[in-house]
Amino acid sequence: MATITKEIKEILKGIKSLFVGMKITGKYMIKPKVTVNYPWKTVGKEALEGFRMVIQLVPVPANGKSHKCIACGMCARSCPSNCIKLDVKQTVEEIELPDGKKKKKVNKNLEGFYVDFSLCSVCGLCVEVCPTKTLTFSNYPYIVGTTRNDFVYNILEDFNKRYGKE
Amino acid sequence: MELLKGLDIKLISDERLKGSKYQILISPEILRKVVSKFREEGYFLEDVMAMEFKECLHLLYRFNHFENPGTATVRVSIDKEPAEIETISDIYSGALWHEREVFEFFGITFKNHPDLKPLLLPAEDFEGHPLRKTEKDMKSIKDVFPMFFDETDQEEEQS
Amino acid sequence: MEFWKEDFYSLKFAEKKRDDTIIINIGPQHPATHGVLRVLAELYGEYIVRSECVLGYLHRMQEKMGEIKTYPQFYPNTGRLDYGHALAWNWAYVGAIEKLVGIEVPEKAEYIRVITTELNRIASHLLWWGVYILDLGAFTPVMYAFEDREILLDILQRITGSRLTYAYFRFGGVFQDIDSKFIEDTKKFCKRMHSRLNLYHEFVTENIIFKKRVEDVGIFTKDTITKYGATGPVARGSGIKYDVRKAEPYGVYDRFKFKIPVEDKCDCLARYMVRMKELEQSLSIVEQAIEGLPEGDFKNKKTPKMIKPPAGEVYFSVESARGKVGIYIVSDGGMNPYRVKLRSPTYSNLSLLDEVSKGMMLADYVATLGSLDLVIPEIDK
Repeated sequence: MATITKEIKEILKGIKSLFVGMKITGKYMIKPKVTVNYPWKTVGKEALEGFRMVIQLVPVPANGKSHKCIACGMCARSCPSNCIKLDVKQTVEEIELPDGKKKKKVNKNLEGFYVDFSLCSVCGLCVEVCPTKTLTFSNYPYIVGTTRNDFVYNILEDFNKRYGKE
Repeated sequence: MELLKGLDIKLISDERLKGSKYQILISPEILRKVVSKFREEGYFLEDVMAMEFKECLHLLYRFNHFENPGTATVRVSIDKEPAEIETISDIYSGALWHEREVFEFFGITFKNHPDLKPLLLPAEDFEGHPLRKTEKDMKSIKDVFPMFFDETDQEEEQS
Repeated sequence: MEFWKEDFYSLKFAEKKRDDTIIINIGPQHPATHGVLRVLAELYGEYIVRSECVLGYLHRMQEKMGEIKTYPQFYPNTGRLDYGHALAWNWAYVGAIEKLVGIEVPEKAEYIRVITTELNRIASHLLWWGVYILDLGAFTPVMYAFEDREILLDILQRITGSRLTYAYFRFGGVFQDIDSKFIEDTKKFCKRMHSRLNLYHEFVTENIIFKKRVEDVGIFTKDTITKYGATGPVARGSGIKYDVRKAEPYGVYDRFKFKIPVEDKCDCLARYMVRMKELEQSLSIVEQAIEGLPEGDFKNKKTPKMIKPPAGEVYFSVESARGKVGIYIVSDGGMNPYRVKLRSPTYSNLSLLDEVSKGMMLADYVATLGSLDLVIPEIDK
């Protein structure tokens, strides 16, 4: 007798658990939605803070107007996927020191800074190794293209557009 | 290590080899005896792997214990021609997959393995052994692990 | 169509076929195998006579890449091996290099590492829970799990910059410091999670359909686990008390008080209960770490710019959500490593399924596969 009552109690407990599940599902059916209907709405700027996307040049110090890239090439050497290509024009000029001797000075001029984002793995090694701290991450994720070449960005042009001619 | 008393092994302790509690260097003939002793004591098999040097191929077997933790590494060096050694897959069944992986990446044959076929690379059309090195990248085992050899051997090489 | 006469693995498998059985293919495109895993099974009615796993659909030669790249350049690869708990693999690689070269980590950075790794473990277990119940046929719990997981990933995204494949640690510390908004959000999340866990136990763990599906299914004995070298919740569900955080401690884990949950019944329900209790213990570690957070630097200022370790070797292991992770590096004194070996826990865990599956029914096989918590990129390195 004892085993039969135990079996019946187990069956009743099992059936009760099914009703508990239905009650919780019903309660959540009338609560408001937690998802956002992309692409008619997007998540706001606050939700994208700190997200890593294509690298960008920023002015140093932060309220200035010019970037501090000295075309040293450390970022291109430390990238694991070889995404960064620098276009540098080198000129050599002779200057005269105050005590009369002549010295050769090498001038490096940055013409183009190309980043191939289709190979980038957003690891941050280039941002970390930059000696003047002028490379940072941007956080706009809605980039679209139809061919692979659409994702090669010239970030020097982008800097000039945002901050005027420097 | 009292577990392996009486067998012809060489215990190495050097501060350039980090992370392992015991480093045991043996010759290929007593491999199965050593591994059966580990199995009787309740050790579990962590890993089987290989490396290539100029003179030999170097194999590592790693064991660990659930109750007294601490890695015990067993090291064996074998010749490159012919590259074969006994299997341990009837003592530890976990070695079935590990030995298949070492076979396809290095070309070492394990004798009496029940099913030696490639595990990760495609079997129909892939030729060669990927993790072997070219001539200019290989180093000698005496440069990387000088502590395995006695000092008299090293002085003979230099002079 | 007799497909088993067409490719190499099916031909070898069909050599010992009996006359009254049928051979089928589970995967590689299948919603229940959690990735690209192919299983060849010989069936007699509904019972499995023999089964074999075919791997290699996602093989990327990570170990060869380790010999070509320099030490910092190989680091982003470690975030792509196990996307469920990427910070554990990050910690294993960074810890190995720090041990080899001799770099010290400041105390605040150690606490930040513990907090972010435990939060990532909670995210991995939540994902496993939702997808396991989906395999067994219930469609709603995955939505509850993802709602909690999105709040957690928002917290981690502000500090580390990524949501799934992290590259946050550096040699000698971490990439960025944490601020007061992170601490507030984490405290709110821990409070919310305790009440949500009660909800999960109420409507899934007590459900009779779930219990009948999972109890007494997929028994792994202690001897099987020792032979194959399985670790993590798979071993702890069979009565073996082994956790790398207590057995061979690393970082500052010896300062926190937490228990290791162990169950004795060796079936799928035991492994389920071990993971749910581990979630609660992780929450307790995060709360203790946030309370005891010290002041200081987030990175050692004296790390060398070029990493060139002396000749030697190192082996470093870490407890991830799936088991014991190990990274082994041999250095010859140059800029690139000589040999990198990645010991993944899921590789050893999956190899025991070929022996245990003899005589199981097909539906029980799917339930056992889900309770192992597989992530395929970790197996096919």
